[in-house]
Amino acid sequence: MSADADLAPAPATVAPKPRRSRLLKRFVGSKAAVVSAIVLAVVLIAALGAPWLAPNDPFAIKLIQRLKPPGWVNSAGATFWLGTDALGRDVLSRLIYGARVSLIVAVSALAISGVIGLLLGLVSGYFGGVVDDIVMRIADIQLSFPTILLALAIMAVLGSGLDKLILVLGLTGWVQYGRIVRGQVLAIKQEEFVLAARATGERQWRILFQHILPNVWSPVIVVASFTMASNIVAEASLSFLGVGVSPSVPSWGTMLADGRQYIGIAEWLTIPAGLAISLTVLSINLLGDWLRDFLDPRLKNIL
Amino acid sequence: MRYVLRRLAQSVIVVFGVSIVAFGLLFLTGDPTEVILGDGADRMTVDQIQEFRAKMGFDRPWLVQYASFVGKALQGDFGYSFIRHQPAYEVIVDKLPATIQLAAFAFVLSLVISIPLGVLSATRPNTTVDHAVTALTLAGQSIPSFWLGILLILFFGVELKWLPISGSGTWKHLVMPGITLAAFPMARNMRLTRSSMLDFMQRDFVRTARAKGISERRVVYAHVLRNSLLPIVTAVGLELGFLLGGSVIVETIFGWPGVGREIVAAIGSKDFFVVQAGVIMLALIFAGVNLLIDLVYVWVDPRIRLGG
Amino acid sequence: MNQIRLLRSSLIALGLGLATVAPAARAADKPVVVLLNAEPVSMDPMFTQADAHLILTIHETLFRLDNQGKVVPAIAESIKMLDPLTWEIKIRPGLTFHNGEPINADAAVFTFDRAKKLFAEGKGDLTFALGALKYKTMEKVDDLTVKLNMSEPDPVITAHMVNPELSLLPPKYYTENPPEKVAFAPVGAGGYKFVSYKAGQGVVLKAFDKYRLGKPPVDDVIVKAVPEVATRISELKAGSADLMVGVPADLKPSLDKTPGMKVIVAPSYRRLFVAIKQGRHPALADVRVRQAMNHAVNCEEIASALMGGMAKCNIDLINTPYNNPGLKPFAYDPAKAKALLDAAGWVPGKDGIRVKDGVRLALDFDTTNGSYLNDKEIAQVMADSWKAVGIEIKDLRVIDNAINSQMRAKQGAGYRDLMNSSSGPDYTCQGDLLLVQKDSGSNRMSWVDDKFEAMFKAFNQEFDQSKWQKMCWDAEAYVAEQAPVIWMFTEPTLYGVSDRLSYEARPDGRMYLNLVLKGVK
Repeated sequence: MSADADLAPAPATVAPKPRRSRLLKRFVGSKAAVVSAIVLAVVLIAALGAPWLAPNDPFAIKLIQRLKPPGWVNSAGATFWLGTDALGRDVLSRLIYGARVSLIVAVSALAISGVIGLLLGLVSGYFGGVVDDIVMRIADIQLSFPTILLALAIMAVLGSGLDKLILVLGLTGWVQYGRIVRGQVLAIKQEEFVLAARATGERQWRILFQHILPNVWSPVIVVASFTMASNIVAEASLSFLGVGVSPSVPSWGTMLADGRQYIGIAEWLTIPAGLAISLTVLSINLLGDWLRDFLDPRLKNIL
Repeated sequence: MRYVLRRLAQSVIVVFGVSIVAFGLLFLTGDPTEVILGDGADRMTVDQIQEFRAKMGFDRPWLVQYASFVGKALQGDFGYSFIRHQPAYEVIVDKLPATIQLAAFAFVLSLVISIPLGVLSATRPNTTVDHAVTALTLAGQSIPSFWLGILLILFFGVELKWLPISGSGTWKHLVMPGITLAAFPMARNMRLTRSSMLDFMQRDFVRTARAKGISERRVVYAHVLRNSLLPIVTAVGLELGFLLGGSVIVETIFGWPGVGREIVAAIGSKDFFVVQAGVIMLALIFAGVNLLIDLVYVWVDPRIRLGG
Repeated sequence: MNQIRLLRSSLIALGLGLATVAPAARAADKPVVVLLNAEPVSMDPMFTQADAHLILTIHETLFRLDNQGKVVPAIAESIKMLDPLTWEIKIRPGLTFHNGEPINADAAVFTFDRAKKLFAEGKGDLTFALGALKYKTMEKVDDLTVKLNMSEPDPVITAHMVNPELSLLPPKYYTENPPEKVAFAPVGAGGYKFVSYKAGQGVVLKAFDKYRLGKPPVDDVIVKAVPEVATRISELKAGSADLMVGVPADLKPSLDKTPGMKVIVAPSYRRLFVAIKQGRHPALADVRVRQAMNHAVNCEEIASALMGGMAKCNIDLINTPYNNPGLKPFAYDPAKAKALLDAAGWVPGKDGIRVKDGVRLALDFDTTNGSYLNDKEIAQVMADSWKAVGIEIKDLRVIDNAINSQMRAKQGAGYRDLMNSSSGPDYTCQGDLLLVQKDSGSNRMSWVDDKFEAMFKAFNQEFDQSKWQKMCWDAEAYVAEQAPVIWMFTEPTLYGVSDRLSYEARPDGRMYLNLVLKGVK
């Protein structure tokens, strides 16, 4: 896709800043948004409070108690509400710790790609000309490489692990932000308040960061919500291909990938992790939809 | 015409950039001699290593190496596969048809299912049909594809025995991998069609058309749908990248003999010329198809020609 | 209205399409489908190390291993030593290749010359085969007799001629066609004729009626590649495949209950161990550290829990019957492990991980997933055990099976500190010792020990067979104590087999289809 043809919607006027009370009112009005927010809150609490919430040690390998069904109680009286995995570790505890790993990967990667995309999009949209051409061609080049293969190649050379996973997902995900921000900037820079600032001889960088930046947040937030969802799925996919996080680190992706051999004899290894991924991604998407409709309904046609 | 030329020039620049990245892959860790020889270098004398380096041309300035890389690549010479004992180009070309077949099938599937369903749900908002489509959309976007693939195999392959489980050959072999690969883009296209249609139906020109007494069907298809397809056309270009990349997972699950698995194996065995050839070919396909799509885009929306 | 009609008709069309894909009727003449985990690299015997199953199904060597693992003459009829460096081999009369070319001295000379020539040019995957059989030239004596001139004495020469790389090739076919063509259109002398190959559809084979042991009992076979274990099992459950290797031990009870298939457990010669790569972490050069790592792992528990009790921990560098039965494995003894590490100067740091001269005892561990029974799980259990004695596994990485087999073929290039590994049988003590010998293609650890090299050299040049057992046991005992690897056990092999197929498992786990497929209903 040539970035030039990728015309972001050009809002005729910049959406007025939503007031907080309106935000809350509209939010409560949407059942889907409320339910999603509750699901995400649960995931967030699990991630933050994992050490206190997990009933058992998620790393403790005990071969003697492997593949026990949900509700099993061991001789010491510990209950394994979701059963144990192939190495005798508590599935529920790993699920709770897994929220942490999945969220860390998703959020850190989207932060990296968001910052890169935002900066490049701003610069390219505002200055136009050669700068714009260069940035958009880099975007095209980036898009030409299938993300998963690029991630595999980089991780094969640099090694796998949480940090590299985040880096790879972060570095490859910036294009969406870049393009949408650029489109917004193109529209905004024709606005009166920008033209006025220019006329008074304000510095370019000041105009860019003080006048334009505050007006491109909405699409960035919306893109971020969708990127977060796709990062969670990407983590699972790379785990399946064996280049995700280390197998001892509990992540939903590795749990789902590891449990696949036991489908048919130990469903408790895949269903909780699979549901956790799907529900979280679903909630993020629904919330993202709602945010988009609320912040800037015109983005509907491109996201 | 000027737009078309400009767009062609852009494609050339992109291909150039892709070649630099693919060339650079080999130098990601420094001297490719050590990468390629690996620990085999331990058993070689310094002279032997130097000889190998000279033979491969790694002792020349990198600009010269790049020039020779491009020169050879233009003639289809991407070097020799150490593992397969055949030209890297052939290794990839042999596997390319399978990947293209799968991606194309998934691509068509994602369009022929998503657009009618999207239209359907947009034309009757808040009905059962609409809710069902929305549910499908949400599910398609939130299930990791390898899980979906395994579940499909268990249901359609093992339980019902309707479809062959792995391999390629007949159109039946395409069905499950195709659905698995298409699930995500299908859901996204459905969503885009629906929201875009709903949006256009509120627009003035549609209201005018309705007021003029034009039949509802004509309004929906001639006015709304045609305009609503624009965002889809934009999205499909990117979708192709997703399909080519996502095929690695599908190829693994369904034993589909494509480029993705070949590149994965080549990455592991440090068969770098195959990696380079594979990455470049996939990028070329991507760039080529996107050029085509952009030209289609111009045809669908003539405004671009003026604005471009 | 219209859209609904469109939708309905497309759904019906889809449903009809699916419904016509009814399961094909099962008949005895339906080909037997065998599942492997990777597409063949090549079917030219000299260009692959990863496809032995297929190579020795299509091709035939001078000597072979029968289903009991004994070296028996195959194309060769007899062999005689003329002097320590010269051997005379007689070829069976009346044999032909699949294309009708006669099997004679010319074919043997052509084959052995081709191997030498390719190896000299740096082509092919011949490091292993030519490292084992060190010959200078092969000469024709008469139409069915050849002379093999060795570069050094080799008392177990026949065992070195069983390697698939040295399969006999028809000279005319392999001279007239370029290597690219013959790679995927092989002509050999094995039990099955090559019919066609297409990635994804598999290698189609047909029984060769003029095979030297008679036409194999199963006529039509398709060998397909399916990388994902879960998919291979699904194929078997669905009845669309007849044979797979590497059924996970945990699945045996459930698969045994699945109608239409059974799981066959066979002993194997595949000895599992964790290779310790030299040259990356300084601690691993110290024998005490390696011994400590052995003492820290509870092998018995792993064998009973993850192998379903189907494996027995022992030091199995040498296969039975040459193995020393009195050799005791390293006992599970974390206290002793800690003491050894202390003695080696690696003392616990603040976080419990041992340190020496500012270097942490933190290692990288690569494991395959599904190449061996529960390999990834074993790796995690070991990492956990080592942590308990102060050795950290800082990066436990899973690598793709295809990647692993290629790294193995390149003498472990790309291995990091620790790597799940295995060794197949060589049927001689000398051959099994190659696992740790410095020039050998199967030594993937870069482990070099001068004392062992001296013992090995003396053993390898000893023609007096009465001395072999002691030399073998001494060498094995020495290596065992040096612990160049984490010793584990010989893994059982679990085959998934359809009910219609009768299958005879070989202890080496090889699926030479002309020898293992015993009939189909």
